[in-house]
Amino acid sequence: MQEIIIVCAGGYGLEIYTEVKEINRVRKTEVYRILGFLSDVPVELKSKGIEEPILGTIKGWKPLGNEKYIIGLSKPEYKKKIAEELKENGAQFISIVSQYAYVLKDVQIGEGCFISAGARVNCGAELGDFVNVNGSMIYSGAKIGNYSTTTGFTVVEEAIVEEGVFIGSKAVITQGCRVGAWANVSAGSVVINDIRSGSTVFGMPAQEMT
Amino acid sequence: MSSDTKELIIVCEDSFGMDVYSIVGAINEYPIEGYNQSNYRVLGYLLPKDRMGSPVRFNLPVLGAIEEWKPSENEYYAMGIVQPRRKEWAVNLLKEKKAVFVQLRAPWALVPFDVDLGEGSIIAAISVKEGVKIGPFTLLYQSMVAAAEIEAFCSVMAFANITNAHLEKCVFVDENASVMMNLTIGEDACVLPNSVVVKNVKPRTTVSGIPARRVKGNKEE
Repeated sequence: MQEIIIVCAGGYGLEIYTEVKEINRVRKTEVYRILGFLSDVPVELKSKGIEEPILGTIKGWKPLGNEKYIIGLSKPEYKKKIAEELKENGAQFISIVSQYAYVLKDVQIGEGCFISAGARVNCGAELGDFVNVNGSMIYSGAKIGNYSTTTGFTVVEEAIVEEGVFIGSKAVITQGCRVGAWANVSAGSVVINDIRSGSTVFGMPAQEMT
Repeated sequence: MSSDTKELIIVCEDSFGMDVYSIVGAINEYPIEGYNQSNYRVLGYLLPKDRMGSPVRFNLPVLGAIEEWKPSENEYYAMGIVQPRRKEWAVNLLKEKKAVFVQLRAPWALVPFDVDLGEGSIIAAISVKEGVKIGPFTLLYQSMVAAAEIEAFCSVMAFANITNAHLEKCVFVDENASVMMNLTIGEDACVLPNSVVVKNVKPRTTVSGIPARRVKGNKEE
């Protein structure tokens, strides 16, 4: 049994909450015990039927002991900021894979990752730290850097996605491409060329937005 | 539950084909209840002659060239080539020498047991509904297929959505593409990623966009 605290109690934090509860329900043991949430803004959880409390704010939070953390946010910039802040105070992070995701053999997963239901990660893929894979398909040989997020129906073929990239839903990163650090790939784009760091691309084939 | 272990050789062209290894691994790891599927041990890859020496995955050897390979007994083959015409080429070469191709059905694929699956097909789809006809050597890769008729050597890639359509021989449907109801996609046609096909596609045509328009080939027919 592992005690966990979910950082942020927004929509994505609650998604992680439901997935964790589902893991406990299906496996019929308490694999994870959720101690509560951390949030900088006041959130009303009781009305949503959630009994776990808001334990405090992210700013100045002191870790309790053996508990581990997972970040309930998908925006790469915020993920990095929060992860660095909590790590400075000695927090340890955990990776969670949904009961309904298929993560096959020989996949490397860093810390603080979350892989949601419907995702499939093939053999030999490499995920960095704090990567969120939401219902995407990651082919073997794909490399995804730290703090990156892929969303629903995203396909990442044998390509390199660098740090802090956000990939919108239904986007396709085709074989052999390199997506530069902190780039944004808009929903429905098809990336067939390399993408410059920090740029936002859109369309089919994906081109830089000006 | 599985009863025996078969030795499997993956016929592939590039690293993409080696991905079939993932499906084989998943079949061994999560056996499907009530479905008699064998366990597989992958021996290695076969590559085309001109691709020999390209990097391989998962610490498995390249056994030889497809052109020169001599199949022996008790060996089974899985088709890892994606491009339909190349698939046909390799199948013809190996079938001549009496190679036996296996059918792979990934554990996550929701396939009713009465669906007609062709020889050598790889079904790694999310869902396949009743009334689907799947021809030999078809690849369905994390896609959704309902009430469709798919002929030989077609490849349907991740998150493609095909409902009540007819795919003729050697059709390639790329990632995230949707094919609407009651349409026919002609022989050798190619649907590019993220397209939405709303009318029939003629043979030997490449279509792209929303709605899908011809970008290459076949102006006349």
